Amino acid sequence: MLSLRHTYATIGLALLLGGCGGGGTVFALKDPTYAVKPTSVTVITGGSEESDMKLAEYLTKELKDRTKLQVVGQEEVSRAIPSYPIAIKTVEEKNGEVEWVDPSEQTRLQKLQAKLKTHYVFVVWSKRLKQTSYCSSRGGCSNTYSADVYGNMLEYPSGQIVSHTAFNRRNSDSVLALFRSKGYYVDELLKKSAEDIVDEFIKVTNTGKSR
Amino acid sequence: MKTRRRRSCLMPAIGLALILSGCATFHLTQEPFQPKGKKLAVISGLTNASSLDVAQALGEELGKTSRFHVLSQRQIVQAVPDYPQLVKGPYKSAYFEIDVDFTKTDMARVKELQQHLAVDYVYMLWAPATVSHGSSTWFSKKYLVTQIVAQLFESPGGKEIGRSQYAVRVDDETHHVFSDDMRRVALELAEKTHTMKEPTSSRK
Repeated sequence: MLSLRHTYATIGLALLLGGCGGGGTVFALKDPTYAVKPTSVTVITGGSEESDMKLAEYLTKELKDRTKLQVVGQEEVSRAIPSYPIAIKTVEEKNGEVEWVDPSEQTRLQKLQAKLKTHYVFVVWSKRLKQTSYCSSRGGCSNTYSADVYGNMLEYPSGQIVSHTAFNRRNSDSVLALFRSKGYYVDELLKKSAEDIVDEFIKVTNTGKSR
Repeated sequence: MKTRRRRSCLMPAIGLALILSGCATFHLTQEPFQPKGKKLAVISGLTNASSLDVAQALGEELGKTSRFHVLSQRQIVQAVPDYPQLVKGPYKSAYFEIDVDFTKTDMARVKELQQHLAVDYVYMLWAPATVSHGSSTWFSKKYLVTQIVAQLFESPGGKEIGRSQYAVRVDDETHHVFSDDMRRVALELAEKTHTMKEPTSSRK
C-alpha cells in the first residue's frame, strides 16, 4: 500500500515537473512598437553542441509550419555556410536574465546574412544543459533535465537586434523512460522550447498562418 | 521494474568508469587486418571545439605511438576546402550519452573528404557531448568528460575498418583533453591495426 502511494507520488511529481517551465522571457521585442514584417528569416545556432543544433532545427520547423515568414531550412544554412555551426559570443546582462549577441560578432553575422539573404536572422543558444538524478532509498531513480534557452532576432540590412529570448526549461523522465531512446527527454525539452518561442512570436508579431 | 530503473541509472556511471579505466576504445570490423598503407588523417566530423581538440590530440599521439604518417590538422585545413565542416555522425542523439547508430554516418560526405586527402586511412571522429560530473568540494573535484564516437575508413572507397566509442577527461581549467587518455586510445588503435612503433632501446 505504502509502495503504491510512493509510486503515485513519484508519477505525480514527474507529471508536475514534466514539461514544466522555469521563468524568463520566451520572446519579446526590444522595442515593443517595432513591427516584424512577414518576410523571411533564417534560424542559426550560436553554439555548436548537439542541443544547440537541435534547438535551431526545431525552431526552424515551428516557424516554417506556423508563421507566414519564409524560413530557410537548416540544410540550406549548412550548404551556404560550410563551417556552420559556428560559436557566436554573447554578452550577459542581469545575471543571465538577458543575453545579447556580442557586438564584436556583428561583422561575422553580416557576412552570414549576405549568404543567406533573409530579412531576419534568429540566433539561438541552448546553454547549461544539465541532468539531475534523484535515486530513492526504496529503489528507482528519476532524472530531471534543464537548459537555458537564449535568442536574439536581428534585422537586416541594419543588423539591429529586434528581439530577445531568455528562459529556462525543465523536463523529467517518467516511468516510460525504459522504453524511450536515450535523448528522448532532452529532445522533448528542446521541441517544447521551440514551440513556446513560436507561440509567443505569433502573439507578439501577429505573423501566424491563418487556419 | 525498480531494479531495472536503478540499473539504467547506474549504467552511465559504471560505463564511464569502465571507459576511463581500461575498456576497449577501438575494435576492428574487418578481420584479419593488415595495413595497406601508412598515411592517415584524423578528421573531425563536427565544428565544435571539443571535436577539434580531440582530433588534434589524437593525431599527435598516433604520430608518436604508431607507424602511421599522420597528417597534421594544418595539412588537413590546407587540403580540404572549408574544413572543419559538419558531417552527419553515427548517432541518433548525443546529449549526455551518445545513442550510437553506425548506419547513420553520412558516407557521401566521408567519401567527398577522402577525395581531398591523399591518405590510406581516415579516422573520422565526433565529440558531440562534454559532460560535467560531480561537484567541486574540499574532498572532490568537478571534472569534464568528452564522449567520442569514431570510425576508421579505408581510402579510397570508404570501407569501414574499425569503430570506436570512448570518453576522455578534459581539464576543467584549460579545457584540453588529458594526454594520458589520448595516448591510451592511440596505443590501442596502433596495437589492433598492427602499426605499433617498435620501442626504441635506451640501453646499450
